[in-house]
Amino acid sequence: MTNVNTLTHKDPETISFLHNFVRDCSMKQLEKYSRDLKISIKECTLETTLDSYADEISLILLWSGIGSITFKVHFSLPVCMKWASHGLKKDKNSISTSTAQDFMREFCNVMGGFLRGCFEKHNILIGMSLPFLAPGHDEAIFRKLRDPRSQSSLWKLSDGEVEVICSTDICLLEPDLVKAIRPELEKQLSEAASNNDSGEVNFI
Amino acid sequence: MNKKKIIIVDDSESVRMFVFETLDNAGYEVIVAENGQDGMNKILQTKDAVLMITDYNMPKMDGIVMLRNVKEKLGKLPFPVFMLTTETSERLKAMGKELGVIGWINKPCNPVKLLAAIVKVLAKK
Repeated sequence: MTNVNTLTHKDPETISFLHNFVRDCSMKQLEKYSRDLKISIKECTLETTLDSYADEISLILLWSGIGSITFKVHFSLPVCMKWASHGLKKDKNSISTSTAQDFMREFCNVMGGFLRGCFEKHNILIGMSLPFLAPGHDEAIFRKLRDPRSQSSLWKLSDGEVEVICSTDICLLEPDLVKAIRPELEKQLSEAASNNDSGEVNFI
Repeated sequence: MNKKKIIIVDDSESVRMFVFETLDNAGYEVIVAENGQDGMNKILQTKDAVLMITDYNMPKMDGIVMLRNVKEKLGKLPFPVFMLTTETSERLKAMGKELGVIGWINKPCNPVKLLAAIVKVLAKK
């Protein structure tokens, strides 16, 4: 379960499902994106957080009539250097800082694209920002600007040696719509996890 | 012998680097653009390119608008286009197809599959 306080939402079960959905997606997508690093989820409690979780943040925003999702990765440079080196199949010494940071930015893009695709399959149109990078201490500003109707959760993604903190702020205005497609969303995530279709060229 | 030219358009530095090295190592001349506006300029300047690989979600101009603008200027796309993107929307695929996109690739890019598709497409030209 996520560490989100779901009890204040009018549909605690559905908002909790959505938080877990984003969390599970992040693990599966990072495994694919890093080209098969074995990634696991570790718990991380809201109580232990500071205004800044890490050196840098990469984030992406999704929004629609049913609500919004902000997905953030809070990371430090040695972690993104290690994962970029694995994902880009290059020696760590030949990767620049900006390339490694961009690797984490692009991870948010992969996450956003996947989540958007899941909802659009059910005719829920989603707007998506470009992914972007910010200094870690900007978390204090993001928190101040957060939609008061949204609920937050966080978790760690670990490769067994190093880890990042991920967080999501979800504002769910139409829980019934998500509830109705919940089995399909679960199916889509499980199919995406088992299909290694990344990089497949589909002729259209 | 002149190398075949391929244009890559992506705002992500790490994606550009990965695709550039994949194509460069395979013997292609690679022309790189960082956003849709830059991509449109590179297409108009490089009419002897044989293929383009473009992202969709980019600053200044997205991949679909870029292709639409090129089509308006030139009447048709001068070469086949692959869309390399995180987007899976059928709506976007249909829009791309109408503009001349022939292949849709879900990120992250797989170098072996990408090169095989390029060889297949160029063999037909």
